[in-house]
Amino acid sequence: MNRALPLTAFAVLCILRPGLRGPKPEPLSPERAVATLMPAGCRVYLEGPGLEPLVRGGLAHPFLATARATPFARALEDAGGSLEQALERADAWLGAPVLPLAARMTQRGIALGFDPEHDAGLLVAVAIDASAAEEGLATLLAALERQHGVPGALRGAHARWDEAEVWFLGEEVVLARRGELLVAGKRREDVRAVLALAADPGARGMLARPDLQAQREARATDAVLWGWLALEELEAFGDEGLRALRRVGLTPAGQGLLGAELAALCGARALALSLVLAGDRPELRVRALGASRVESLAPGARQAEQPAEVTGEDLGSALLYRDYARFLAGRATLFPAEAQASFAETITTGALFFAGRDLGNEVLPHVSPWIRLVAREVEFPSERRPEITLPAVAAIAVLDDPAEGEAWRSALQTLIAILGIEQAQKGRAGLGLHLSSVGAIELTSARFPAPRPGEGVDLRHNLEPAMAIVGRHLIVGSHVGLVRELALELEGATPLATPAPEELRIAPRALAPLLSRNRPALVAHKMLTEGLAHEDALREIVGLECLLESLESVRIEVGRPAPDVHELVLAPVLAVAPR
Amino acid sequence: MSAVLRAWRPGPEGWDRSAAAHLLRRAGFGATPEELERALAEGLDATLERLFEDRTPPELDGSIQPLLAAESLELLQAWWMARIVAGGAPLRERVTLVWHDLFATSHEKVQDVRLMHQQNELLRREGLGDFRRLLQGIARDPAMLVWLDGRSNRRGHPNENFAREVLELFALGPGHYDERDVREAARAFSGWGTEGRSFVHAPEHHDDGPKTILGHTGCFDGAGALDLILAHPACARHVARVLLEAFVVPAPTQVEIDGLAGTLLASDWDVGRTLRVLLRSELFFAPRARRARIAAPVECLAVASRALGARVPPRTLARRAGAMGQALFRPPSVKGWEGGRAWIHAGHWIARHNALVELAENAAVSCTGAEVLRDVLPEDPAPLREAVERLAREPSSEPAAIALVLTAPEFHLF
Repeated sequence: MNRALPLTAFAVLCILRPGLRGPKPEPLSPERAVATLMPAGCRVYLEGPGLEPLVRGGLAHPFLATARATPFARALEDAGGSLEQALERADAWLGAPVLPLAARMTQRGIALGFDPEHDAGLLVAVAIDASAAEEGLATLLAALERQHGVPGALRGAHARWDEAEVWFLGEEVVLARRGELLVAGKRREDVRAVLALAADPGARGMLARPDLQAQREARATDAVLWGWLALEELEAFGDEGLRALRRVGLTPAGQGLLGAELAALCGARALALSLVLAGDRPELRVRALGASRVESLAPGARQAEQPAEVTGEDLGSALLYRDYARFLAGRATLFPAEAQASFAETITTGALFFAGRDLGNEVLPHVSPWIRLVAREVEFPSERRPEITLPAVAAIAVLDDPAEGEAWRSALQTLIAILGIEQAQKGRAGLGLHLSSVGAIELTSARFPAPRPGEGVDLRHNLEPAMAIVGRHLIVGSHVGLVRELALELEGATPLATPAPEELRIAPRALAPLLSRNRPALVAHKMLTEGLAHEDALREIVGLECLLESLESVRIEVGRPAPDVHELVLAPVLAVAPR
Repeated sequence: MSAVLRAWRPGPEGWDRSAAAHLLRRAGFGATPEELERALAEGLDATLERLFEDRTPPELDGSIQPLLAAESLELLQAWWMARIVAGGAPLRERVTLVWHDLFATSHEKVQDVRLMHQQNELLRREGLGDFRRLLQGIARDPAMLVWLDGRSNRRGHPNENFAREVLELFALGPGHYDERDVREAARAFSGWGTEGRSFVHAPEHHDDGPKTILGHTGCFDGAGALDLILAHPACARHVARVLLEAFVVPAPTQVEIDGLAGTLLASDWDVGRTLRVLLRSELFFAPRARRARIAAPVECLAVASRALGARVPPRTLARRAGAMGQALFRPPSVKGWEGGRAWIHAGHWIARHNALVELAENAAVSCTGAEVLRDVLPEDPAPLREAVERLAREPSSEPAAIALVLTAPEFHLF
């Protein structure tokens, strides 16, 4: 509802002649999809095919019930009043129960369209019938009259466009009703375009876009919300971030960084989004049809094993397919001539680290392109516990032969030696090498000397780089504690032959204590970098902690469910706070 | 007391907006409109007392502690900028910057944010106290020992860097010592170094043989050498010159220097008491002292943002100051910043202009060009006032009017 309607608008409305009425239009065909009523010029489109159960279920819907039980929602309700109270206020403002009214006014479809070229949005709703649309709209307009103290100003339409009644709510909103169809928009020509589509039984509207039509036909049948973005067209109006993302998606370098599947989604012409609710569990599916990718870098292009699963409690983990061996091998065709010199330099530098072996031909081809990343908190001895603690991160890959691991051990040792020389030149202590073992597994690690008592333990002490070779698993990590844990978990495990899709899993709730521990630093950082007052910075950080505590887990899976379909699935699981 | 430092006794007309703004700008970093009104209402003595107070909010004071572990110079710069702009301890922050310029130490070589912070706190803590303690403290300061290679000053292999700079730049000035004094003083400082982040005196590296420094012979150590330097008549004059250049005029006369040196010695080297006399003097408020210096980037940005009430993140202000030629904790050399006209050479001027226009755009919702003109240029230059008034008559022109004031040459003379 628009409570900010300018009073000046009503002053204008009051002098307009109310009560324009005309012939009744033909009802819209029950088969008519709401997408056919939205002008094809919209570059962002959203419809709610499964909203009705959510609206009718109201606050009792399982998803809303769970969402309201999260710490974040509870904090919001504690601060701003409960949803029941908000709903009661809305009912009182409208003079009728909001949810049943909304359900009747949108029962046959509701859609939003947006065109960034004109910064104009459109709302199209099809009520259960013309009388429901008329009554609902009258109730809404009467509420607006009461709010602005201009009784009767909206009792009748301000204009009649063919078979539609039209109201002008100030400069910002044009409202129209044509039988059971309700339209609200910013620009008159947009609203007229919707009414013209409604008057033409054969009009296609947004379905005239073949990509949208194909995506819409393939959408999940249980989608609550379904949206479509003309990504390629939006690029011209989007911010630099969107353009950068598109560039990343469309370049081989981007595909190497993001992976072929994710890069294909970023570079796609258009994306379709479906929000599905399975009970209280939401799932967002993002799909692109016919997006292009570099086949040689895509999962499965090289038959390879995946690292075995690890069993510990992770803050986050990922399974990625990044075939840097083929990436290097294909550099002559993937990249322009001017980029070749930097590849040559990388390969030469790589040889320095890998005991003279060629990175592209002799090192990377012996490593599986499947990489498992793991992030966990680690324990620090008290004398080297950093004042700002960060999670440790490790990568696990599969080697053709355990003997290949020695080249990696040599590389780590050489890197540490070079860094040590660099630090010594600055008069500072560098990383010292350490060799240790866990059972029969050798660990190579490095760490900075412990600071003197009372002199503070800096961020750098989060870094104790380490590696281990466990069977055919190569583990390289930012902290020896994590590498040791993973080595024990992988002892005796064999790589997986059955490929699973690329995925990322995060445990936000487990991250919250980490934020909480580092809260003073985060608050101070906000004060100095954003200029926030202490209490505002504190409120933001506590709010973020609360938000993280409200998410048990988030899973992001990227794959290709059909040969020409690229899909990203985002599935959060909400965490309910104990009362 | 020297006649040149005779106390100023303004009549009813004397303590006006211009005088108040001059004091707040020079002894602190300008004023918010409310602070300026209060100064006008309370008078010179009360305003001066307020400048000596320290009302830095504890949450700002302590905000750097949890961030030191991040080893980020940028955050340390932002923290100091936040303290300056907050205005809780105007004179203390001002002298901290003066001493930072005198005992110029750069993170470029020190490469340790905690040490830079430690030195900054030393300058802040001792800055308004006994100069002798400050000099003895800075000689033992780990950042200074790294910066001027004190750590490699050992018996038999003296490193002269610190000894040379303490004689030439920090305490005496050229013409008051010779090369032998440098060599002998370096021997006296041998053995002063660091262990971890702390000062350490290593007797095994100290040359405890007899030395002759500034005409005095004995087995002096570092503290003894500093005592000899402090006892030299040129030392008080050197400090007096530094204070006069920072607070009054870029080129003080010898009479003025001698007068303030006498005040410094009479106050037993107490910088705060000396400044109390200086900031209350006719010399400080004399016409030739006003608008006599080209504003340094940090003070220019601080004065502008305080006057405008602009809410700019401290990190942004510190970055802008760096682009304008004054990166805190990174003076270009041991001589500190060149200052003067160097602040407004072509490259720095563009950065200065852009930063002030950005501030004006940020502040245009909270004040008008006319208000800013009244507060930052109370001398009221007529052509500028007319231009601001003309602009104000045009719609949506406040940012341009404020920018006009801030980029006017008059504003850059402090």
